[in-house]
Amino acid sequence: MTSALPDSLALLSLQLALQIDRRLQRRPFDRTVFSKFGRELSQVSGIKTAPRAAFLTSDPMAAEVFSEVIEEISNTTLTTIDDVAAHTGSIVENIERADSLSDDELSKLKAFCLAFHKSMMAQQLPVPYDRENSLDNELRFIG
Amino acid sequence: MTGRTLLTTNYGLLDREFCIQKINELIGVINRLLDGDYPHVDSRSALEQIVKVFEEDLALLDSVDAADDPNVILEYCRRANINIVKFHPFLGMLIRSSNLRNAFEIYFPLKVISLDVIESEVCVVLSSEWLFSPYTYPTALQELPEFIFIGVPASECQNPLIIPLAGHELGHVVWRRRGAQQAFETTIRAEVISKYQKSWDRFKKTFGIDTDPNRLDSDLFLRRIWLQSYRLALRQLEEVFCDYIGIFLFGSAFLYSFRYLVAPSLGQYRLVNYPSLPSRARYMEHAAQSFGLRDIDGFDIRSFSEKEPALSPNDRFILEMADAVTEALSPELLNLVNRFHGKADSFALGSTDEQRIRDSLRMLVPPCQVRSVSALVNAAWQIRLSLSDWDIQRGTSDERLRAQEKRRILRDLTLKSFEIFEFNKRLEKHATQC
Repeated sequence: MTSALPDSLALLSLQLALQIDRRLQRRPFDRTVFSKFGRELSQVSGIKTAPRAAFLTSDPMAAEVFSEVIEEISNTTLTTIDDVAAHTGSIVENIERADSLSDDELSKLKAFCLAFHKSMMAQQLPVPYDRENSLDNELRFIG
Repeated sequence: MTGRTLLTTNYGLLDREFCIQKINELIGVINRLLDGDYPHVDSRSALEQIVKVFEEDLALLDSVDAADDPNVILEYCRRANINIVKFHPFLGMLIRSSNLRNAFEIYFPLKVISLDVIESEVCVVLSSEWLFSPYTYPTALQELPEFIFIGVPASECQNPLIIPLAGHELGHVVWRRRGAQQAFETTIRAEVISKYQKSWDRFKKTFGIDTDPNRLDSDLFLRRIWLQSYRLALRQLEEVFCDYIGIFLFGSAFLYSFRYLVAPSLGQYRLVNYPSLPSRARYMEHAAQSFGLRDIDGFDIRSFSEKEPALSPNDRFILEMADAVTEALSPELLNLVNRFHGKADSFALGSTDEQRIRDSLRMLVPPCQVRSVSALVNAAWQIRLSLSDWDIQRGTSDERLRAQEKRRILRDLTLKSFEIFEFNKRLEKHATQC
């Protein structure tokens, strides 16, 4: 089942991964993608306005996408939604100071973008299959 | 560059090449489909727009090169693949929308109702489906936001009496694209958490977790459990909302067509993203009464039953929470219908015409004026439900054959009456619609 995250965010995430990769290779890259993605990520996550409240009141499925992605790429264990909000906030901050990021920080950001895109693509189930979901697909207890 | 060279330099490039090939094949297929005839311009428009989507995908794949990280290239390929998978069924629908199997008389009334409900530009694709369940593709296609795809079971494509079920399908569009879901999500979320808190002892015992219920909203592990109930409740409530939209638009005709198509069930185990059929029927009955329907003798909630799936205790708990949320919130969906039905008229507005239309149909004469699709379909259903009282085809002695003939005549008369509706509407204001 899809969350409310727009596909434009997924595409920007992918395009940013490409531009970061080119920057890491010291090739010409498009700087504008950084700010575009940063703006849209801020807006969708609500991270700049009211971080905790945004994650609590927003679409819980969208919050789950963020938490899955952050757990996948980070070495830390997330236990609360505040952890997710904090990590997302730090990603947004990194994007905003993109010009001064080290190669290591850029690589982590690229990893986030790729994982985020992959996670959002996984949400885009083909609709007829989604509608005919088997029980196993509908109830996935993570225990 | 040879395949071997591609693989040794950047393994992502061969996958990119394959994706480009697949997309070009698909564009070729769509261009061949565009050579066909389509009775309605919306089907052709959809195909043209889908071509643009894939042309954009080609441009994205062209934007990566041999020096780019293969992982990035593969992510571009994943994106292209998702679109290929996603759009395939729609292409099937679009080619079937041109099939003579579809009763074309139904299209215009559906388009007009869709315009009234959605209140903005809307394109409708009506097609037959080889899946015995009418359904739309509600989540479709951010790429084609103004399109509604409605699939009707192939064996029922000529049956005008099930057109009310399209009202349910329009409900999905209202729910997902017109803001009804967004308006209700916070309520659903709050109710899920409340239900979990009230069932906390049972939750602890079922899941073997001993923790503070106040952490339900912040703890990620707990969130992942109730999120499943949330997802189910969200889907179930969407289905209930869509039923209510159908009843709002078509009144008792919606109930009868639902019973016709579904009762006692379509055979499978209960689908957990729907309320159970008995519950769903009960909600419909309640909504019908709330909307002012008094006479719904042709609808009986006892007609519906289905087998519940065998679930683990954990899954059973999750589903029961979702069901409890749906039960608690379904009455509030009536207010949502009142808020989001757009300019569409309720069935009640046309109900004064029902008797005149019914009398006309019984005399084998299409009514000279049809202003309301709902009135027409309800009148037809009244005849259908009292078929034995319809004194025609006296020359046929075999009662089963006689009933079959009556149903065929009723179908043809109703379809002809849809044409009259279209004629009247085009004179009124939809001269160039469709």
